Amino acid sequence: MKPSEKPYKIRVDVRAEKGSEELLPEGIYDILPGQGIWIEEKGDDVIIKAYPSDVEEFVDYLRKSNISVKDVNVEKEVSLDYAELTKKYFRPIRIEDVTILAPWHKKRKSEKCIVIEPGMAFGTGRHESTKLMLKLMRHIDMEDKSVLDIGCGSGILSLYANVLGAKTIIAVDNDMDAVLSVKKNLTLNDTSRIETACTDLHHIKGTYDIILANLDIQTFTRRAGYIKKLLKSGGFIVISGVLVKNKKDVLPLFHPLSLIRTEKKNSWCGFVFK
Amino acid sequence: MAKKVVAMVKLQLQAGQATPSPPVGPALGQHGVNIMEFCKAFNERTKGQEGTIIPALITIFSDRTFTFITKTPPATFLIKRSAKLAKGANNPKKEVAGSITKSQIKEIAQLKMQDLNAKDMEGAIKIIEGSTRSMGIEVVEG
Repeated sequence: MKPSEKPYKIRVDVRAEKGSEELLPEGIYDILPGQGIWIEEKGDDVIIKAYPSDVEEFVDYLRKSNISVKDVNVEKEVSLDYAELTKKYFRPIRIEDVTILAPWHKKRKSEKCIVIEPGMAFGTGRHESTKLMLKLMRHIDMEDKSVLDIGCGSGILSLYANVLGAKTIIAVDNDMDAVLSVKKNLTLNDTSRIETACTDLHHIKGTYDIILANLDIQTFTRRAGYIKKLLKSGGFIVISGVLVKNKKDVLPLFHPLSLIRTEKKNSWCGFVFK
Repeated sequence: MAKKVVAMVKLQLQAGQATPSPPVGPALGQHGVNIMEFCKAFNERTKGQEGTIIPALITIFSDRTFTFITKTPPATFLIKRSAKLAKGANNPKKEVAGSITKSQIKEIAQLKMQDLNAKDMEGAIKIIEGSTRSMGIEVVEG
């Protein structure tokens, strides 16, 4: 099929002063079948992108409004199946001995799988720090151990601890969206063995054999002392989310624990302390 | 979390009505996020506000996850709400659809100050007043 034969939508790009999107007449939304606009900032201006059912009526609305329009461009945009596009972006990925799938993928019985709905919680398996965490975790014997996952995001690390045979797993995050996302991912993985809580780090009680923390340098700087207190004697702390250039600042924070493993991927690194 | 922001996208959408069709599809699709998940989350968060346009500022991270905040409806919707109107005048040049007080204008200007291209409060008030008149709504003392 030639590009010109593909189905398309008419998009109108309106260049106007910043803030103009606040002043669009309300009636304009009635002629936008998608019921909305998309705004891009360009210096002191904005480009208001809209897909009106009637371009002339759309321009007429603009003329009657209090907006000083600088330029109007009408484009033909090729229509895509956006639900399919999402599927293209989230193909199964293999990390260590496990395959990360999205809910629309078929589970393969022959391999270990973790299903993650890619959405609002960090941890789709596509970031270096997540990959590093999984790599470091794989070398730890989790059989019958208690695991605490701090800043759990999507719950991907807890789900991997589950695959590795951990006895109890608690996934916590201070972001409610993340906790809701973990709950959903637990259902997708047919497991109820992972407990979840929406809480700040300093409210966590108890001690654990293994602590997982894919956080950032600021949080480690402020909270490493507290994270260490949550560790059982002889246990392991696995961390990532640290840029290689910050390694020297992070390592002393976990003193007197010993650094037993380091992994690096691009500009990110991760560590295991015992 | 090792979150790294790769893009910010601004949309203004009908509360509770987001779908993967344009503008949501192309705006978010270019960054490879799960479009349906955004629609579900937006519709859930704006439930009960149907009939109003809600601006959403979406932050997209390097592992293609995202978060978003919703803002107060655009100024024109706040003006209409203050004037207690179902909609503005059909022909604003000839017809007056309703009225709004100067203090109401000031309230809207304060709320929208940072979203408008105004140097100061006075500028923001002028912009809101101009829009009010273009909607066929009178500005009265009070």
